[in-house]
Amino acid sequence: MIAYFQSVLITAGIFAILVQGLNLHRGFTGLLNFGHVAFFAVGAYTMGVLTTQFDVPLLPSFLAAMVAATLLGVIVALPAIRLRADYLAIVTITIGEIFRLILKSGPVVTEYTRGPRGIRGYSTEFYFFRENIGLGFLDPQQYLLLVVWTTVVLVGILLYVLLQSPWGRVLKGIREDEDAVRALGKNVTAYKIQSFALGAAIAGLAGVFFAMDIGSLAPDTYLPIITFQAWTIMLLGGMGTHLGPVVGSIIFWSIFNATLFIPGVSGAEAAYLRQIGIGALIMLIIIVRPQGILGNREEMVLDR
Amino acid sequence: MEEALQLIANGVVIGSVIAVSAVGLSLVFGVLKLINFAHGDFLTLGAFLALTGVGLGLPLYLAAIPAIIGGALAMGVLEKVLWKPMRERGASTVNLLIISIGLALVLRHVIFWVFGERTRSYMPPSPRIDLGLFALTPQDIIIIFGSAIALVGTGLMLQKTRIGTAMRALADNRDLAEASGINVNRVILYTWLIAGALTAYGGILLGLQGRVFPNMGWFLLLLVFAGVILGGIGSAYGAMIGSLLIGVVQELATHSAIGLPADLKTSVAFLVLILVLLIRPQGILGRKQAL
Repeated sequence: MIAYFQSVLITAGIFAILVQGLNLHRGFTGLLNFGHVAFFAVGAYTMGVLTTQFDVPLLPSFLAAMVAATLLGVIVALPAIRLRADYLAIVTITIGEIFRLILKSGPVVTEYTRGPRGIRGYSTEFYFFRENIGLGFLDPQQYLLLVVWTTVVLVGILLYVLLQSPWGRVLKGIREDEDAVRALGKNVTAYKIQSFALGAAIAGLAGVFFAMDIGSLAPDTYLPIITFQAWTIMLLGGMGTHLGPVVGSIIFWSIFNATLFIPGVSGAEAAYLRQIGIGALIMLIIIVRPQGILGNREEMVLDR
Repeated sequence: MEEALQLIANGVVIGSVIAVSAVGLSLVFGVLKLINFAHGDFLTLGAFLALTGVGLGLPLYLAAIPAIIGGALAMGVLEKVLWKPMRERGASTVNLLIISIGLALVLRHVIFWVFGERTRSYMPPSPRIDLGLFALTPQDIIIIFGSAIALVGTGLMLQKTRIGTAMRALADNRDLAEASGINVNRVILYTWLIAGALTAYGGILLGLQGRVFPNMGWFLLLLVFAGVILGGIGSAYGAMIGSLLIGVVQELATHSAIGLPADLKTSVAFLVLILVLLIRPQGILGRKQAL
């Protein structure tokens, strides 16, 4: 039973990190990113491919995963950032799908990603590593739980500090009124790209932990539904709040897992009902409380 | 060359399906400035409504009628209970877009829940008929003509009828249309009804072209976006041209001289979508100020 709660908390922690990245894009900078799953995937795959096929050690492969996610963030941002909000939504969701299709069947790429068959066996070193840092007394699950939630806290602190800084105030300014910030002589595009890159790197790190949790990589894990789940969590907790992703993720995954225990509903049916629930939750939040649980309506002038 | 002609013909078939779907999406965008992410799942709804009729023993052309009416009513009811109240509360277009994503998830999985994940079809597949330069199945030919009829009909409606004129006026300049005495809410309701009918019809064509399954519309949606944006968002005629081009481009990408795996052909269409947004965001027929 404890193992079960631990596994729920691991998922919640990983998604909290993922949403911390999305929240930087949407909540703090106002960018409508619907391709977040691509950064999640690029992090996981970079680590997986480097570890299994190039024997790259643990920490460099983590670092490379974040660098790759950052690069993809910049590649997506450079063209997309000039677009109007709803076009950005279409472009980002499309890039996410292109990325998944290439992982799955792109020529040359599949030599490394092994296409639909996926990658396994990259997580051994990660779990062995706990001996090196004196955490050998934890079982693998407890260790992952600790690492994930430590990361949640560290990323949270990093974002808190950054957003209090002049840099962060410019981001929030862009969210509120892009033209005003531009009029003050700030290079809005550069700030947006930086926000996109940093949020992507955070999502890439979440992707690495997700890969460690599930133990294998397959392209079709990275469907747009992951992005929508991240959005639901962000909206639920409250966009543009520092604790929103954490609170939202814990509540979301508690509800999600509680539905596994509804008596008399078959596995497939329960899966459909959960997706219906996610969709309904998205609609309900926007209709009833667009600022989410922790959000402050006055502060968020996102309604444009 | 022979291969290219056949691929172009295939592209026109799928492009015809995309076109009918794209026009509905474009009409709604023109009038409401809403990018409706639930549009694909309304295609699926139409396809499954018709499938239910076929299951009851109706021929497809008769089963299509209640399905098209059902599709129109579904969008009309949502306008009354969801979109109109949200507009009146001053919800932003971004929030409406997010709502449409939630709606898409709900609708798609209700269909999954009711019909199960099994893939079905309206009729057993027919062999291709050799038409000289290329070969098509009878279904393909029905799709091309069926789509052309719907597109010409929509064009006539936009040009010749009062409601069509009002829709174009609203898409052009909402304030001006309102000031000239057009009942905006009524036009919006009609737009949803027409879009709903077109979408259900497009879904039936899509089911005829391939198979009927709960993800069918969702899988087509990004191609529909590509068609709409390539043609010029908000322009119904642009959506028709853009969709046909998208259909042909993604089929030609699998030509043996290019050698792209068939699994990747949709990403070529997606790439076109992104390139258009970068180079000419107003598309082929759109105007810059409509953005």
